[in-house]
Amino acid sequence: MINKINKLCLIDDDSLFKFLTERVIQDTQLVDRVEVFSNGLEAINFLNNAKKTPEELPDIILLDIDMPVMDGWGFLEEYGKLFPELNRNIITYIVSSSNDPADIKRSKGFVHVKDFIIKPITKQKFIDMVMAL
Amino acid sequence: MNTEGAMVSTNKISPNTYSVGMNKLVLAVQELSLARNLDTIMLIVRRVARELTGADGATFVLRDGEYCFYAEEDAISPLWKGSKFPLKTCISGWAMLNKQSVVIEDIYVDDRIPHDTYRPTFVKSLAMVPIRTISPIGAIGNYWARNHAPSNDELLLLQSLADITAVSIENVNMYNQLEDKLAERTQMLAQLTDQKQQLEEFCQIIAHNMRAPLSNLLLLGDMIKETPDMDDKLMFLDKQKPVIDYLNDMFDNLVDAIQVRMDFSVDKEEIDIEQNVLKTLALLQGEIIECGAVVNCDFSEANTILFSPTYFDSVIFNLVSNAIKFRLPGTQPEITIKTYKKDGFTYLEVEDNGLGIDLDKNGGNLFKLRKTFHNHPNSKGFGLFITKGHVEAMGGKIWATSEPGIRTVFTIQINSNVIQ
Repeated sequence: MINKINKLCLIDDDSLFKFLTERVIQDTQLVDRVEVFSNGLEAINFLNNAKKTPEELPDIILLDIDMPVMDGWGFLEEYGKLFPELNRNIITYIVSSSNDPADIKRSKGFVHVKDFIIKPITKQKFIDMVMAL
Repeated sequence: MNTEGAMVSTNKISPNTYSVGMNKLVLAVQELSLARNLDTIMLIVRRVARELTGADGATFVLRDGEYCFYAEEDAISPLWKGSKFPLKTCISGWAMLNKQSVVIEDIYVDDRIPHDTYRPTFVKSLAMVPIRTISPIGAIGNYWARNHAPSNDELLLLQSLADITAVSIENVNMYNQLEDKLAERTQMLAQLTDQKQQLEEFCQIIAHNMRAPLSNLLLLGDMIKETPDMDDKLMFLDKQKPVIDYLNDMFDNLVDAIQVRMDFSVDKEEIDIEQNVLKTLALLQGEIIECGAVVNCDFSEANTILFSPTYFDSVIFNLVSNAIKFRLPGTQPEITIKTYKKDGFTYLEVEDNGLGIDLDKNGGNLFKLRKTFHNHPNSKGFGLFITKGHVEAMGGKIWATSEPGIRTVFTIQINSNVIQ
């Protein structure tokens, strides 16, 4: 297990999911800060700006697939380009409500994706995720 | 010698003539093997029949119930092409009924011949062979302008031609049946492909659209149970309500949509477009007046369409209410509903000057259900999904073109001719 998670980013357009998941994560007391974004583009813009302020960069990203403006796949492609400039290995999970085998297969094509998690993220599931790091 | 020579020329074909006939027969077999319909067979046979025996005329007769139908002929002057005679009064009928060939050297001394029918023609003598000896389906006739008795060899050649013709006709029938079957199977395959696609679509909806709210409900349930805080419990309970409503609506719509797609027997009728559109616009009167929209209708090019009346009303309702809902603020909404015909299709267009849709970004999802549930189900997503289902159940297509901020056109294409 890693010592301490300073920051986690939650990228999802489902506001109820974000609300509940943020709450669950806070309840585990394993994470200092949770920052939420509604789509891939918002998150990419944030990461781009945070290049100069590494303390703002997250340790973990939880990424939804199906989002407006820029979906999860679009984010992963942009993130791949940005990665060399970030100087940090952000652990990225795809978090989806569907267990569509096509999506799972596609996610394996991205080296930065650690795992494919099926919603909901319960307290226990999140603890297990963090313990496995 | 002379006498014998004369005998040979009238009653027997010379070996040379016979082999020429055989060659012609072989060529005819090759030609017939390529024939794919009865007309082609008849054209080949009427020509070859005459060439084989050097006759002055040949006919191709088909049995049509109790009649002989003179379907084709090739002769020095017209015979009976296109005419029908009762089997019993006609020599081709005799050959068919008696399942054997017949040679008549002088037709005017044979009472099987209806002399009145022959008098206007050149025919003095004839030979008739049935096509297929077991239960004949027709006959081939040869005619001479002089008294002539065809030799056994000539008759044999002619009968061979008739036998080959029978086989060719059966082949053509078989071929046509196979083609029909193939067409039927191809259509079934296309239908199955459509159904598979629809099934995948429904699977997709269930996997994506229903799982997201369900997983939120599951988590909410856990949190309500686990939190000791009463205010939190109430807050979580409050959050359940819209999700449950959304799932309920989604479920109802999905069931409706599946029923539409499974209902192959839904009745189509010829619909009076103007009458039905006006009826539907009356239902939307409130919204139309409230936003000050102008609705133009032009059904002068096509005022009927083959559609289920219920589906038609629903399609018009959805497209018009969409046009009102996505109007451009600060612009008077203008909606144009018109029809036209082109290349065997009837088209119905609903055009508006509203917000428009960025089809490059959203085109693929335009007619799909929306994934998330923050928007009220009735406001987005379901309408076009249901509309597409209705149009496709009618065998039609629907698509949209749009210039954002200028205009959006929804076009429905329905086959004008096919009545199923």
